[in-house]
Amino acid sequence: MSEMMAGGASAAVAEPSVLVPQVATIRRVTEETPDVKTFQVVFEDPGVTEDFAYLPGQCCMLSLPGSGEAMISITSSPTRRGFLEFAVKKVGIFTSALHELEPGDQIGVRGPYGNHFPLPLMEGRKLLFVGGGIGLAPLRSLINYVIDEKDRFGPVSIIYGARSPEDLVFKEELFHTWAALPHVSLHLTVDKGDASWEGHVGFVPAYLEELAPAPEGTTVITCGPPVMIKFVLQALSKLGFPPERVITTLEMKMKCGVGKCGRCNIGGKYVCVDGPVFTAAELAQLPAEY
Amino acid sequence: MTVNAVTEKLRQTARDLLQSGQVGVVIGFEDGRFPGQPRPAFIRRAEDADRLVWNAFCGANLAKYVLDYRVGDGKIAVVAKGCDGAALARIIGDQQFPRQRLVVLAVGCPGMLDAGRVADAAGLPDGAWDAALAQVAAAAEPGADGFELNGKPVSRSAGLRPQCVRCRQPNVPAALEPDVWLSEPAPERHPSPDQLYGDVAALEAMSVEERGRFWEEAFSRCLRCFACRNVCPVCDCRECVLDDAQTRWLGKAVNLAENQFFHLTRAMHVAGRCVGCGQCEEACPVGLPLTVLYRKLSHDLEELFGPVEMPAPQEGKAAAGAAEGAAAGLEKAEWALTRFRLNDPDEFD
Amino acid sequence: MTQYWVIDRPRAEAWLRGLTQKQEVLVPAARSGVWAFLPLEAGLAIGWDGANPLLPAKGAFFPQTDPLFRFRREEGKLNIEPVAEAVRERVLFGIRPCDARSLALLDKVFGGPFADSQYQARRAATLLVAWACDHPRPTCFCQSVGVDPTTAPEADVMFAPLPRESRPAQGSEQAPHQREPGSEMQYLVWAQTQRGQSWLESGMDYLARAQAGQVEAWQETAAGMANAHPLELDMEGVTDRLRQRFDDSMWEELSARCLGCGICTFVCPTCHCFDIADWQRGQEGLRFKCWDSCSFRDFTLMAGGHNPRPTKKERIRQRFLHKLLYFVDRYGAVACVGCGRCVEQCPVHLDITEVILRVKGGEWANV
Repeated sequence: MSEMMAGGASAAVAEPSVLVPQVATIRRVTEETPDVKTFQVVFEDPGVTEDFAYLPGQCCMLSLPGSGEAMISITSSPTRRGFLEFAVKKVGIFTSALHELEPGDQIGVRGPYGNHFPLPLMEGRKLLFVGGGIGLAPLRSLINYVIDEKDRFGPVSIIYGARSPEDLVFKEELFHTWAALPHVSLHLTVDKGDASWEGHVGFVPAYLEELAPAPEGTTVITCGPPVMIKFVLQALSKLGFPPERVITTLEMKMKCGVGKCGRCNIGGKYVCVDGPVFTAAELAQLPAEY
Repeated sequence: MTVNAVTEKLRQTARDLLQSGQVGVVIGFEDGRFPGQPRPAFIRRAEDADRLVWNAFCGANLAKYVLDYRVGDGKIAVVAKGCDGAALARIIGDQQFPRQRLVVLAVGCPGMLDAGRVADAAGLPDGAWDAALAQVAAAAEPGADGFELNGKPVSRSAGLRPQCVRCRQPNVPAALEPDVWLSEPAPERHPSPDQLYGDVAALEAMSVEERGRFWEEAFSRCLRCFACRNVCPVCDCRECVLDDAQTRWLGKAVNLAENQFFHLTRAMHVAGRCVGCGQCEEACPVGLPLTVLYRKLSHDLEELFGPVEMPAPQEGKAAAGAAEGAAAGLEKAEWALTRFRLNDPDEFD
Repeated sequence: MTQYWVIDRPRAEAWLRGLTQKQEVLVPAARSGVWAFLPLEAGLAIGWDGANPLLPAKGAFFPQTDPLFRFRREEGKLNIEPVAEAVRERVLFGIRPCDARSLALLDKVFGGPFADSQYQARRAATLLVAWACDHPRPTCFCQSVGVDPTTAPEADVMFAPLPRESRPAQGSEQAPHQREPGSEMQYLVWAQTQRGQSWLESGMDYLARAQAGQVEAWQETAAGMANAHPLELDMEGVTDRLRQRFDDSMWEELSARCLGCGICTFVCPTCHCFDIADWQRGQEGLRFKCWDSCSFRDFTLMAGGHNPRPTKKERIRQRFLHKLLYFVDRYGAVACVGCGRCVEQCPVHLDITEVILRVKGGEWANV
């Protein structure tokens, strides 16, 4: 040690930062709605894809260097290996740039980050999914997980709505794959119908109250725009669902995604590492600053 | 502690304004943690009016704060020295706050002291300014010519804030038509050309290379804390172009190129609008000579277009309640570089 | 058994300047009137008697702009090349116990899961030499937040100024009037880590063994420095009280004065919030992390326009609760070291001491 100090000039090269993403190639782009696209990606390094272990509810930082980075939930299920999928709504600079990309183009991906849906709260129980708009993206990961591991879970109900029929995401699954499964019941609604829409019209929280599912033996997982979540939580409470059995996800602006940069906290909780998944009971303990 | 006459009248006025419901808040100064450092105060209840103070250290420009009240329709009262008044006139002229919602409490300003300069002038050691300044804060009438500190006579001019040495506007502009005078107007001030522009002239005398090095060295120190912009009362844009997350004109990296872009953009935005209050330079933690840049521009503007003239107060309006006339005049006033005309002889291409 | 050494200022200068031949030595110094920790070089005066630098030591480990990787995008292909920073052994000389504590706090943030490799490499490569602080400013309150100004447990080596009467001449041939001012100053020096011990061993040409009574003389001085700091705050129960005061009118009142600039956060030795941004020219660019401030409006502004902290009220609440409550819950310590920089620098005199005072139900004595 003393030689090293006396020599002084010894140098070490710092490991690359955890904030450096892996390069991934877009394999497929699905246009879900006028402003939502799903990107299926594979890492350039097959070893990274192989080692990439995650659970439903977790997120990744997607990067388009020069246009920025954003935290996006993984919408594919870990039961389906070899690729990752992200459904991205066009809202800002980064997401608009991402929407310009085509299969074969490359992006940066780092993760997985955050916690996941608490499986012990769901195993052996009936599952009720309540989603709105792009909020179905994190739920889809769990829905497909539950479908693929159906012995571990009870029957599945999905209440899902969007502003209009064309704003419903994952139409292939909603109208074909999931619709065909006997243990999955689907309840779709739109805020405003069109000429072709024959289904339910109305807001998700109201439809939920109308359907009035029984709380016994059920765990609820809800995700959607903040205002929808707020009214869904109120409706669930009215229907008698205990807040410990109601699970939701939160969204805040994130930069590092790893609990360091200091901006995504709600009270003392960092959404990037302590979330994004919280139970309604946990949410009630947080200040309403989100 | 004895209370000076201005403080007494200020407190009484504030009490009356709040009690009668004429204003929702009175913006003035109150004592802070350290002597010689009064802080901006926002008095909302008549019973808190006695917190207000006026002393020789009330140098901060309060005009900036009216921008926080843009949303709403209640009236606010603001204590205004000459530079606060000039800034208020500017803000009204930019149509960022209506004169009708302001109650201007004018006070003639003899120039404000800087705690650090006073301590230096009295030969106080670096760490001892707080206790000693207590004596000055207590003893110095705002207008006193000098005082004794640390056993030494300290002249007022030795302790003046640099921008107060250069002051040409000890009183609010007449066009603002103040609602209340808390003191007699201060006598006119006529700083020498050297006091006004000596440092500007020194820079002008440098070669282009020297001047480049001077500013590069200065801008490379910038931390980009934005205190200069945020404290500036004429930086009254609702959204600053330098904050625009969509365009990111100003990159987030802190380096000479970005820093230069920041300061030169700001300099052009305040050119012809700067009221010379010097808050930017005073707030800057790394001592950037920002007013030198802004005064260079003001100086050039004055040479090219003549001195900035405030519109004359409206005829036949008494001091109190003259708000509407003043508003009309100020909002129509045109300052150099602030209006674009389609028939501008320059082609901008 | 701690071994104590003595060094006078000229010898310490000679030692440090000699070290710069082979490594970087950061010292408190002023450039263009701005005090910071600067690389020692010819012509740069070490600020032996100066105030605690305006810019804290954090910048040596967490620089304001810190490159992460270079990128190139061409025809859809993305190439990423992480910045391979060669981190050299260096000495950070002259930090005070407040800044030393701040590094221990930053270690908690930048260590742990997803550790910041660049921060950690710089920390590991840096030998910390701290000064016992004998120049408190009127704005200092380190003792109130549990920092002992006489010692920095985080440092590898301590320098403590010896009182005048315990300084026998250390063989200076120069007549008193020929000496530099302050050259008569002597410091008691001791190592606190193995690494510090090795460093001292490498400097034996400059160090003399402490003589009888010198250690005691320092200890007496240190005892006298306890509670000597001018600003005194009662921190008892502040964190728990704040737990109940998220919706307090205090935040609205305090925020009226706030200008929303970032001075307090940039000069704060514990503030560590950062942004990640890109610089791009043509198809190439650099991604870097850079200091950010919770006071800034766009800190939490989301792409869709929603801002969970839309006004100054939410933003200052975040700043103070982060320091006094959230950090305590997460890392077990208050994120304030009492250095007083924010107290001194805030243009409108709004600072953490006022929050603490108000939480304790107090007001300024002179209000």
